[in-house]
Amino acid sequence: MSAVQGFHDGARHEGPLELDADVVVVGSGAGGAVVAAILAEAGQRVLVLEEGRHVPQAEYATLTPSQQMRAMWRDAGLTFAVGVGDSPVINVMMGKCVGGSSVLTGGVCFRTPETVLEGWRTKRGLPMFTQAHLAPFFEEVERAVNVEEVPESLRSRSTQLFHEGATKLGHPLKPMRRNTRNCEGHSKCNFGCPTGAKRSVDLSFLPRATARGAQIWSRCLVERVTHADGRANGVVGRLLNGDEGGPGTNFTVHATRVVLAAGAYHTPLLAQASGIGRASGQVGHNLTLHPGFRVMGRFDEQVQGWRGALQSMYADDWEPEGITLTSLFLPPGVLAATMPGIGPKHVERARQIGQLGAFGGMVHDEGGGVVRRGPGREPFVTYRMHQKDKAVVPKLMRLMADIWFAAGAKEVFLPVLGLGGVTPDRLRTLDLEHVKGRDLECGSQHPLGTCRMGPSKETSVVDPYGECWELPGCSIADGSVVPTSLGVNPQLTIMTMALRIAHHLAAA
Amino acid sequence: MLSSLRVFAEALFSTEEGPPPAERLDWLMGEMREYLHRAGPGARVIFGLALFAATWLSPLFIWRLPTLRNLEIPQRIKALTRMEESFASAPVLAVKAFLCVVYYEHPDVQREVGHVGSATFPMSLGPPS
Repeated sequence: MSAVQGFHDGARHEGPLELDADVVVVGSGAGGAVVAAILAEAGQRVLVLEEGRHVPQAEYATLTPSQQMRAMWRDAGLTFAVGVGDSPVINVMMGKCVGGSSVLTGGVCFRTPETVLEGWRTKRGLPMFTQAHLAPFFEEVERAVNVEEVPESLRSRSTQLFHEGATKLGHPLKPMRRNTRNCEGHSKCNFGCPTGAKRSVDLSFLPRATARGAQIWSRCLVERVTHADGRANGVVGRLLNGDEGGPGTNFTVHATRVVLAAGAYHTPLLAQASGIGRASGQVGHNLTLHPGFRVMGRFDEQVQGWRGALQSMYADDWEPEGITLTSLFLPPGVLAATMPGIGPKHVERARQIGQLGAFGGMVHDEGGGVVRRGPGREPFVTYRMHQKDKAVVPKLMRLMADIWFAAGAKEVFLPVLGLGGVTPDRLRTLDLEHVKGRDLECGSQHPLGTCRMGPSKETSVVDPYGECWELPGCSIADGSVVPTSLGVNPQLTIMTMALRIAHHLAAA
Repeated sequence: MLSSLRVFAEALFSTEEGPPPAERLDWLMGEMREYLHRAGPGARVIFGLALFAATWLSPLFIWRLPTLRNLEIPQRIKALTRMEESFASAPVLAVKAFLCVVYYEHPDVQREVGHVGSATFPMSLGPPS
């Protein structure tokens, strides 16, 4: 029996399990939850399978950031893309819980930029992706998750200072939109909103799905899509009811439609294990990440950047060069970790974290990542940063440092390993253009593109409505189908593309 | 691995008055044990290699024989500082980052750095998956 209506825990189920459904959705994040809600509301029997645990929203406030990472982040936050050539190692953060990464985003919602859609139409063979075609889907998602502009009153002092600095340099920031309602500015979006203000899919689309009878099974590891007569007819896998939460007994789901929505790291692994994508050779390739870099400024005043919305403003003035700047903040441990020194010197510096402002910059990348099956349950991912993308990183760092100094910072901390604090004089003499890729601190929360959408099975994995070219009855509806990098936070694009796919399936 | 981690943590979080209280380090090691348990095997291997490198190589930066455990705390601080400032800083920075993420969640430490009101601990997360 489930403790909450519609929710079941595979780790608590004894023995094998066999279930029937009209549609089985693998993954409960931004893509899977949307599909589950729309198809359940269309009267279909929907079953959602999630590898991670179900942590009710009420428990988010009881967990510290590192406890959240252990409970709800994939690999406890220690997932990496290995840099190839002169590329950095990139820490890729993803959710592994009911609600997926939507529980852990800053809530930032950008519509897909027109320049990106134009590329899809002219270079990727997807002429249907116009603003007019997508507008009703964007509007439906924005209503469902309550996308709203972040009010000025919620801006943290850190963001205010960066805004002041950017304005002095002639580039005032713009307010962001996020999927929130009654946000109180606890700055903990990345660790599960403690008040439920962020309308992540566990609080928006999944309740709609369960209200219409959808069943959600957490801690179920799907291993393969099954098929007969050339058509998908279910999935098989193992419940995580084994020793120490590992794979235990088998489960089988029979369904007339399979929807893969396990994200850009795990959907390609499932596709490969199921024999999908052999014709194109594209499964697992074309990974884009939006490599992100944080730059911090130290002020004489107490900034206490953790007071206010985690993300509230951005700058896209440098988007033509591939740079977008977005506000962010970091838990104290992460801030302290960037402080140089060991022992008393480190502790003294760590006591200054209240004086730090932080801002992020991300690169609109060309891609170059590959997801391959690893030795265990997790994939082995490599990322070769495009030369053009690597070339913009020094500009990004100088730009953000200049903005912090214009705001009055005494020193800045750049994302270069072992560099320490940098004063204005030192910045002028630093040879950032020749910093090696391996010495860059880099993170990502936006893996995309590993089962991309396209016009033919020779060049893509799924058709323009997400159906696998090589396995009818199996669709993909997550970030892996996004054809190219976006240059902006992708959750709204992912939800919108999933909604479009779901409505198509519901009408079929 | 945890005993080497404690040797590193004693140096990293030392003040002019000495290393952090033993009970705080006990708490930290308990949290780190649980953290490593939940991280995947790949992440554990990478972290283990970083800790191994920091433990064995850092004494060489002050012309001492390995390992870090054999050094008094002031010498450990000097050894790790030299390695952090060198071309081979990555292992030290990796271990330092991992320790800091958890250590600065201790309520006493949060008070010391002025980050008040956000810690809630301890609680059990139940079995990992």
